[in-house]
Amino acid sequence: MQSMAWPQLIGADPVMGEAPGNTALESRFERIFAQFSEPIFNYVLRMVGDGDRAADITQDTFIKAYRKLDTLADDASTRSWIYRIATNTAIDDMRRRRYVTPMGDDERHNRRPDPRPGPEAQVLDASIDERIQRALGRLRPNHRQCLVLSDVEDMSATQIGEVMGMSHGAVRTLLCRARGEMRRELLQEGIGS
Amino acid sequence: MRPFDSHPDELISASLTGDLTDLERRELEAHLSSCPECRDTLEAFSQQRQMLAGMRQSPLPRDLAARVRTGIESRRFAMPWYRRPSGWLTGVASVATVAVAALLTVVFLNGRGNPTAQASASPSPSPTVSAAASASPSPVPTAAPLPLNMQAGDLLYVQLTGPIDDPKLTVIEAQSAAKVGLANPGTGQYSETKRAALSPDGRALAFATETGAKGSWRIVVASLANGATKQLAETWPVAFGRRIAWSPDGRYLAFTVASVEANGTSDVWLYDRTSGSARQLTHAGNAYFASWAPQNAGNEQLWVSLGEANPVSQLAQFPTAAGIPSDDPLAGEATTVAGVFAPLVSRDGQHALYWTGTMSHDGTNGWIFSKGGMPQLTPMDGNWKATPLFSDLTVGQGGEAFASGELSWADDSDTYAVWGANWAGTPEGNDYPDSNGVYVGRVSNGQLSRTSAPDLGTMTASSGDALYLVDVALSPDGSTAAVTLGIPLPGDLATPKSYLRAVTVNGDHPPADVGGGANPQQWSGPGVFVPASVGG
Repeated sequence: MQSMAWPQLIGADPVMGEAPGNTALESRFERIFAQFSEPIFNYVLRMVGDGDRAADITQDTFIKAYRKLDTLADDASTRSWIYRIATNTAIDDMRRRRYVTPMGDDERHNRRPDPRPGPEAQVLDASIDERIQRALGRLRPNHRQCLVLSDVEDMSATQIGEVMGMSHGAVRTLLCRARGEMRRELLQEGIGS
Repeated sequence: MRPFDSHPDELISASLTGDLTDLERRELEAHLSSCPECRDTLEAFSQQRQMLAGMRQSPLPRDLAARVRTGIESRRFAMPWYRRPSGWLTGVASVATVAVAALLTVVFLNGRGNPTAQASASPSPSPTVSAAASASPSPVPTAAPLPLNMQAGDLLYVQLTGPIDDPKLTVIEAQSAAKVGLANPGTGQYSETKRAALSPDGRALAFATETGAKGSWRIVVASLANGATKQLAETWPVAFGRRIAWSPDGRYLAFTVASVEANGTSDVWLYDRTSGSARQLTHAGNAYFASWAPQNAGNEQLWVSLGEANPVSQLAQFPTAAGIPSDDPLAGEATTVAGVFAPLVSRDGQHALYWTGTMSHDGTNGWIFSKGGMPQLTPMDGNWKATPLFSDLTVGQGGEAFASGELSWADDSDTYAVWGANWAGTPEGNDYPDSNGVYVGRVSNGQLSRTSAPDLGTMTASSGDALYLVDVALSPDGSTAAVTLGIPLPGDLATPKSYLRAVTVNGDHPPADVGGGANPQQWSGPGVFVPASVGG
């Protein structure tokens, strides 16, 4: 997975100073950021459908992750841990937005597809992705979440359960419903059968 | 097996990720064999999963690392836009962000090791750093950013990964490792990719991928912005029918479609990016796409060669703005040159590499040379005065020489390569000319010889099998060749693997494996270099 380097500050950190243990903390966080920043950003982007919002949520996710780093028991569970933080942060954001801006950006996801896409638009423009994203945006948040974790992030039902706090069986059922809902929404976008 | 009370959608859904017990799998298989509705559901869910997996991956916003760092230091979370006062951008936080960005600029001035490296040096579109951008009066709108962080001279390559029954294609930018997954057009699985051509604007990649056991190739065009793909044709990869190239303005893609049944017909097809459609251009039955020539007075010009005992080449022309002509442009008064086959015109239009000799038809390879096949170089002055590319290869007494081979130009219009030699004559020494050799020369530097082949590095896989040459691409300045080297498959169901090796033509650096490393577990290649026209 493409990684992004964590920026090193030049000289002493003015806020955290040279506290013992910070070097190890920084180093661990640096690895997590390098490995997961881009996947998390794309995951959140699928969830909220807007680049600026996704950037804000990703930013908050990693700030929270930094502060909660001592709760991460072992490196093997890092993936589900960071996705769980991102998921909760995204859901919080969606809840706040629904309260603050009921007719905000989400409205555009309810538009019907342009009935006149040109052939080039279908092939070389973003139209297919846009239509898939529009369909995703109309799913219930938990359906969208488990579908993205499964089919975009390629997580198993067990891993999805760790992220969403659900049992394996519940994830299977939820995923099936999500696929059915997504199938109907894709049809609305003129995709699939 | 117990019958299901209703359609087992949950099992169908779970089967996509292999999340079934053995019993469930057997029950589902039994049910699917007798339930067309559930087969439809399986198909729809599979396509859905494939589409979602193929969605474009967006690069991380360039300022995000700095924003996180600033947030950690200031103990401040990102403020959503709907809670952000209008004057916030001019506040302390943005100053801190700009300060961190400035520091990062210093840190990353050493080079562009990753996308972040360039990030802080340029204004970002994000709200936070737009404060920095607004400090400079630069209201000039900019074009959409290039996909994959590409810059002129960068190497891109196609990578095939995943199990044999669920292969995935990804295009990767070698310098930054930025990548985009390609959707499958849905008419068959992806397999080894054999040829690729990047559009002059850097936004579309055309490629040819094997269809698997059948041996035919699918020609596919992909958007590098979002990974959307469209299959243009299926073709039999006859010897001289493997070239795919974009017109100089990037509107059209040309390629040869030979009948998949290998019964001998071949014709030139064009894809028009503006209309989004592909159409057969020639109707000769023995036509091959050779190369594009520079545009002339609003006309596209492409060389088409006709396979015959004494081959000819014709210059097809049609108005650029009119789309793919419905009439065969060879049917009119096209410029025709006898004795010239598959001319490959340099980017500046000043020279051409081409083949001479007597041809015959072969059911598998199409038209190939049966006597005297030799690659030549000529200035494009209309005289077609041939200079043999090789100084130390001669036609045998019985006419034994090349049956076929591949030719490539670098964008510098000086450097060229001959590779994939199918030499039918007596070898002129050990393995010379070598079918796995790449012979690189320069117009400005005389003919090729056995010493013109740069060292490609080890030609043996860890399994002990000899590697085989698949494709060669020259960098725009002619200094480097990206060489795709296949590893023989131990069986039909094995995952295809290859090396993509960067080779410096003058041997300045040892050959370096790109992507898969020294022991690749996937198929990497072909490589394509980003032309100077990108971003221009």
